[in-house]
Amino acid sequence: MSSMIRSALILALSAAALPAHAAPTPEQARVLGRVAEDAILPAMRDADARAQALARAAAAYCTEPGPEALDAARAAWREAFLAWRRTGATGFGPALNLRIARTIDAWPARPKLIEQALTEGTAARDAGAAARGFPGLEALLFEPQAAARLAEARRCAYFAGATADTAAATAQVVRGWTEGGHAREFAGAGGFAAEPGHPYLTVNIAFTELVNRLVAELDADAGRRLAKPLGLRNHGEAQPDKLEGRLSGTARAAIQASLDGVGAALRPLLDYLTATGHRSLAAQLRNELGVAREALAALPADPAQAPKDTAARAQQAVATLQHTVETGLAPALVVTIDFNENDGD
Amino acid sequence: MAMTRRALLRLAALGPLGAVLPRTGACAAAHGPWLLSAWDDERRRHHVGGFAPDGARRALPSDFRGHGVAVGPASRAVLFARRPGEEALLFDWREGRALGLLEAPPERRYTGHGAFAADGRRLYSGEQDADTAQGVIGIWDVARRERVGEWVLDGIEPHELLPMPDGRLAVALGGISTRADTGRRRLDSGIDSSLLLLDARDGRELARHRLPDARQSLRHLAVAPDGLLAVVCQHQDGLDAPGLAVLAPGAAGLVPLEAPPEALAGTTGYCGSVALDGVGRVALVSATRGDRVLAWDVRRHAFLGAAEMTRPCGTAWLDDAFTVSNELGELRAFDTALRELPARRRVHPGTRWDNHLAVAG
Repeated sequence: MSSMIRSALILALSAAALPAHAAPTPEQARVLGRVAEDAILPAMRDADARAQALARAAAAYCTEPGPEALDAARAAWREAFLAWRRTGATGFGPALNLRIARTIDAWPARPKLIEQALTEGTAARDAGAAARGFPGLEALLFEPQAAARLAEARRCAYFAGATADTAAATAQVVRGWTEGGHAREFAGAGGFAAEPGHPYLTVNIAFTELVNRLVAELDADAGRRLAKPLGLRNHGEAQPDKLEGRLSGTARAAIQASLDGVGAALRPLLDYLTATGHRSLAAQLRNELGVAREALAALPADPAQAPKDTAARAQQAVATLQHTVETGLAPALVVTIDFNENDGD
Repeated sequence: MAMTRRALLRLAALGPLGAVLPRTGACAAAHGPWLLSAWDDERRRHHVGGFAPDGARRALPSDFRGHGVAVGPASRAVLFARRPGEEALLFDWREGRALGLLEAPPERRYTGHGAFAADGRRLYSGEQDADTAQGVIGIWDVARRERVGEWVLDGIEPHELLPMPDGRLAVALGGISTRADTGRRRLDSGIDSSLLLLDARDGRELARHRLPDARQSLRHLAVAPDGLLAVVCQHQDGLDAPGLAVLAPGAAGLVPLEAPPEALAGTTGYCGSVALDGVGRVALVSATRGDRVLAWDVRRHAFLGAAEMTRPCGTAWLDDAFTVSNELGELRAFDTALRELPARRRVHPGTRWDNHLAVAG
């Protein structure tokens, strides 16, 4: 091996172990740029485009209600919801700062709150998190009496208002990433030494945001979205009504969409791991992602109908991936998943 | 900068430790109080359980990462999820058996701690509103596992709560603004922390105390038999500030206790938990980030010394000594002079003790 090649190899191998405050290496700058350009921005733009389409479909339905318009609105809801789920793995930055998840994605829906808001004439945006956003809209669109009731003027106004609010929220997130410069700052993490208070002062901050968000999303998939509703936990009964998107038949697809988002964010990271001496970890993550995809695909569209072992296999596959992200990827990127420290407890 | 072993020993030698009678670390009785805690294993699976003095262990898996354990009568205890939590697990610690879940209402999130009322039938849970972060105390009928009421607090982020011997309920309001959907992320740098004393019958606010340093977040409590309260804080600017204050019976307000700068160096003002000895004279505080435990005489407001321990967090007074846990699986015992009792050191490989210990039985 020539000394030049050896030097290059050492440089590459040591990249992942650089001190957290060091300026970004070219590999680090590249991986963050790819995460922003290939994972975050396309997913957020797609989610926003579909949320706008949903708002248009709702407006069209309220203008001229009918079975076809209702089907169109339902289809638009499904697409918008699944697109939003694909952004979950990278739901930090503007989505987190603006608390968008609570605004449009707080499950389960509470139909009683919707009825109360309709009775009192409260707008969707003031009706509480469980009465608006994707859960509230699903309840309005897919409840058994929707075809007969949704066209009613007050209900339709509430429905259209909730879709418009949802679209406004996704637009706000996209603006934050684009015009607000968040994508540029994330991709340029570590290059703002002249600005001591910069949110991405170090590369480590960007990796930490990303990896902690990945862990949180996988934790939600394995726990709140699978184990709890399907009764796969140590304590408590199955609660199928807590399957997110069950009413619309999108419960399995929603978890798959979430995992797609995880996969999109992981892809550049796996290449980075491979290039920085963590080839076996990259292979393990790639393999576990594939196993999780297959296990989820084996679930029926309504996961509550799955045989217990099929459901358990899917849940375990996602949990295994989460564990490797937490205990393998995080240390490889010098990221801390807090335990006792800095947690205000 | 972290304190050296030599400096710690010097402090211990120079401090007024001699004024405190050392507590002996007698061998643990076969029958006696149990130690309860949550922990994670090497695969980060969550557990909760109890340890008898003779080493017997009763454990059960938990579906969530636990934080505080409230101890009730008849071997009942409740593990609260770490904030923002949605569940609490009622269990029998002597049998290691789950008795059921207490699910927070949809618009509420647990904030990590709870406490049984003096009658042993009701349970108070620290909570916040999922949307507004308004502090709430939930009230539960434990036998029926049913929520029977709640008190909305004037303030945010109730953390530890403890019944007082005189019937009041002490609540440490951490005062840090977070929301359910953004987890533990701080939404702003502001803080409004105080110690509330409530009428435990109806939640009426009887008194409120604040520290002079408004950047201290009051978080954990210990109460002495006569009602003296020891309160530990976490400094929100990360200053190496002493994190202990006391509210003596009849006192006008909280008194922050002092410590030599060298004892606090590297602690970043982070105190994990506090325990008082059996007579309520010595408080032991875990300075998690400073890799040490600190002790004060809370009656004389005097700093007693420090002892090294890696990442200490949980503290309890058990069998005439302080027991301290850490995320390396260690349980170590110290007398009130902060001398370790080596015979009582236990290491549980692969165990990451969570933040708190509780004593039952």
